[in-house]
Amino acid sequence: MIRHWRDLLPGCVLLVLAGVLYWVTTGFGTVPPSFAQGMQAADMPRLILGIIALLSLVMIYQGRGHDEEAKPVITWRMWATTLVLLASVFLFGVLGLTLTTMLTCLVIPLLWGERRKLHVVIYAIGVPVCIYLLFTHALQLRLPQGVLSPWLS
Amino acid sequence: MRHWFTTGILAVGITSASLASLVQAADDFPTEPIEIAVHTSPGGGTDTTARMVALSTQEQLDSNVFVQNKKGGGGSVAMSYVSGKPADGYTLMAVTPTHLFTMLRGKSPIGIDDIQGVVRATDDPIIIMARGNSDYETIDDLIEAGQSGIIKWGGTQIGGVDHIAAMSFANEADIQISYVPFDSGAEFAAALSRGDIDAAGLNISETQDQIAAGEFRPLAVMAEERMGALPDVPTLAENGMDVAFSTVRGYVVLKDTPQERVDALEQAMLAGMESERYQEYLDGIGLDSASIAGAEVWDKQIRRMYEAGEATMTDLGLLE
Amino acid sequence: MDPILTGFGILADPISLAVILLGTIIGVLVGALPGLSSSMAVALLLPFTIYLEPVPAISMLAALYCAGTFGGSITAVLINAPGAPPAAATAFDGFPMAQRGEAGRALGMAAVSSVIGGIISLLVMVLAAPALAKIAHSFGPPEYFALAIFGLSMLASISGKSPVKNLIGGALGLLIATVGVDLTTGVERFTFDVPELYEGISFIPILIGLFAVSELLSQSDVIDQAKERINLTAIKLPSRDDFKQVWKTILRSSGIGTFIGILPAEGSTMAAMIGYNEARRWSKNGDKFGTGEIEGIAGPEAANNAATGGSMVPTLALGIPGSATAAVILGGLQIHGIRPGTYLFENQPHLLYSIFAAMLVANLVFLVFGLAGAKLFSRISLIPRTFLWPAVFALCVVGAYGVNQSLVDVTIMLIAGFIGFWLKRYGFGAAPIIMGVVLGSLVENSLAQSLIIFDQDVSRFLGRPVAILFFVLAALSIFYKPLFGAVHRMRSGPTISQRGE
Repeated sequence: MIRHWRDLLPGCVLLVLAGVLYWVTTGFGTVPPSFAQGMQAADMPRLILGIIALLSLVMIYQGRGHDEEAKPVITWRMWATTLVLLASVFLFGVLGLTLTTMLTCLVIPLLWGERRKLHVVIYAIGVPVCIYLLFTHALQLRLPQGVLSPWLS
Repeated sequence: MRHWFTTGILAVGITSASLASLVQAADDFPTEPIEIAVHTSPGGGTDTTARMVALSTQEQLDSNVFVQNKKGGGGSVAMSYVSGKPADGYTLMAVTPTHLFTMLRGKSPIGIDDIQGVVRATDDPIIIMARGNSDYETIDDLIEAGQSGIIKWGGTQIGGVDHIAAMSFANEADIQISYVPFDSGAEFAAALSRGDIDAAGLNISETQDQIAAGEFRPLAVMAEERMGALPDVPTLAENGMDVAFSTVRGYVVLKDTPQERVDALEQAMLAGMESERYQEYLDGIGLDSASIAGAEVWDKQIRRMYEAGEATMTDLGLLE
Repeated sequence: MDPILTGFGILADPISLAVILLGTIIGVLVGALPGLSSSMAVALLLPFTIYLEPVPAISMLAALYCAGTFGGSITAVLINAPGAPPAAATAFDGFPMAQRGEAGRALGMAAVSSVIGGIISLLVMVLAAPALAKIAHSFGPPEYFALAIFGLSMLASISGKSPVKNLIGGALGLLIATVGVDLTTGVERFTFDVPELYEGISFIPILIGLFAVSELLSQSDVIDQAKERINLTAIKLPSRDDFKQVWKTILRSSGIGTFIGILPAEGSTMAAMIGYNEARRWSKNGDKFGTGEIEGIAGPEAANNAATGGSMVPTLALGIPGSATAAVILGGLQIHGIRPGTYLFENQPHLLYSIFAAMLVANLVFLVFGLAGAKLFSRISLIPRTFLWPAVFALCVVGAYGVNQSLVDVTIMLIAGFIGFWLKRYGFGAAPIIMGVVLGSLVENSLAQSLIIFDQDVSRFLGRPVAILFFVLAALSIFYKPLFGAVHRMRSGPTISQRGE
């Protein structure tokens, strides 16, 4: 069934998104009547959401009777990488940039099937050190160092 | 014990100058870099002024002074950043009327009682201006026009100092204005000269050339006293209106900062702003050394602006 | 003529020339690092320029700005991470070329078209800057609204993918631009009580996310290609035939860039987008755009560099910066006691020409830099993906964090990356989304401002000739294909079609 409705999935996601965000717009603050002149704050977002919903319907309609296009296969690696990236943002606040970079530079190559273990270790130390020296010392940009902040500033 | 011991040795004829340096060493401040948190991205008046102040102050101290951009939330990102730092004098915050309005709306983690003023760097009163070739010769002409019709007035975002000032003037003068918000002062200055709007509250720093060329006509200053650069322009106070708003920029620290550190910062910053370079900068933006003020004056001014802002915003229905 | 000579006289002063060269080199490097934007570089350099005379100081910053715009294209091509917003359009075709093993050809083309665009625009500026300043000054909210509508009219056709999907992408971009406090009502929209979102979502994290992070996710599933084949062609520069193919595109884009650049509204990014779209519209290979067409690099690169020179006009003559970097340069002017505004040209006309001279030098320097560097930099595309992408990710994090020193921006980058990956999978391109984000607040704010100025009377748009012109151009841009087709059928009938370019 679904195979003959190309774009049904993204269309439905967009419709749900438009619906949810429309609901969010109903919670927008109101301005004192003396300031309201012409357009209200929620008008433009609602117009855009309406257009998105309409275009999604058109897209679904255009896709009827067509098969879904062939797409590259998604393997477990993509999902694992997604998790690593997500985790890195949480760790960023705690461990700081240098340690987090060290971890991602260690985990991602191994995850992607890199076999040269020694290279990976050297790489995982080299990249964060280079970034630290370049940005903090040469460019005077202050990056968060989390638990290392007493030593690296 | 150690104190007695040192003074005992010192009594053996070391000069009083080195004594003074030893006493200072008791609170060795500053030994680390000092940061100034600014609520905007790089560029723009508040950031540029902070960079000038940082540079001038740095020359008075042994420490680096740098600007940290913490943009967002009408100053609330910068305020929560600063409130998370220890009250040790190493973190200053640039304060503008925007910060006070954000506090008033309850959108900030800290209140007016959590900060204390150190120095003021610029004080740029808002001036009501019309086009040079318009019919508005005096502020009374504008008021008259606003009572019979609607004045289109340019300013920055709704809820900012320009807007509060314009609405507060409209309230006092009992006129009707239609407020057109723009992204920056330069934009509504251009709109005024094109004739898209009738009047605007502008700073002298943005318009001194246009005033000199007669393109803009300053009608009244929103201050208690006339400006040195515009001695002929009356204040709104002279017209019996209690409307004083100004683009002020100054620096504060957290309330619990040790007093001797606040004093040290005040001294260094004041001395820095006395420098020729900072004075030239002020001159370039149409201001003079009257802009600079110490902790006492500035701290009072913050509190006065806060109360005035509260009154106006309640009148306008912006506060519950 | 006199102020022009005085202005260009700056090049005779060795110290001035040295700082301009320094600014250029820093600019290219900073632009090429996805972790650092040219606005940050200018802000970092600002305190040092204080020790220089005003004119060399501002010239140095201008050279840096110019070179930074060019530098941004290097990473756009090599790792799909535009170093600066104006380089976004360069990534559409530049990165596919680099993946195909033609990084050198793409980089070389970017350098040459940038330089030609930059020089053409500077020549126009030198000849006509005061007149152009008047045009920039005459643009009010109604004109900007019309210009933004003209920009939006290109959405459907900006990438080869389905027009409906392009329009949806554009609408998503517009939606992203509504986040934050509404200018005309002061009401918070979609901020979800995050103060960092109060002033809107920053552009750079979105850009890095949509391009580089989503590419990283795609790369996780790629099977390693044979590197030997790529090795041979990667460092080759563009050939004579390439230039024969693109010279018209370069000229067209230079014109577009020069004009859009003088309008203070995120000038160079919009110029690059329009330059790309027009290159596609007039190209014989329009359908292949997005898969690595060389015209798709020349179009945006000539336009964005032409616009960078042009954007100094509104910055100096109106005090309205066209970009984040121009905003910091504006601060630099004030630090040196120079007042931007209409009267700057009358009071200090030579300043403008010194800046143009500095930008000219910058252009010549990065021609050399760009061509020599193309051979060097293109080797980056030979690094195995397992080692390239983690380092790219680290630089992306620094880049997203650095602009506002905010973790929220890093999170936005990541979310944009995930969304970008899935959108790409279902055939939605990045081009219309970027276009929507660039134009979003311009559309809404200029419409709201116009309506207040016009007392809510829409018909008063008809009293603004420049606005009408752009509305007509927008209509032509949408309907030209069906119209052109109809006229063509009527005229030529069954004879051989000879559509000239």
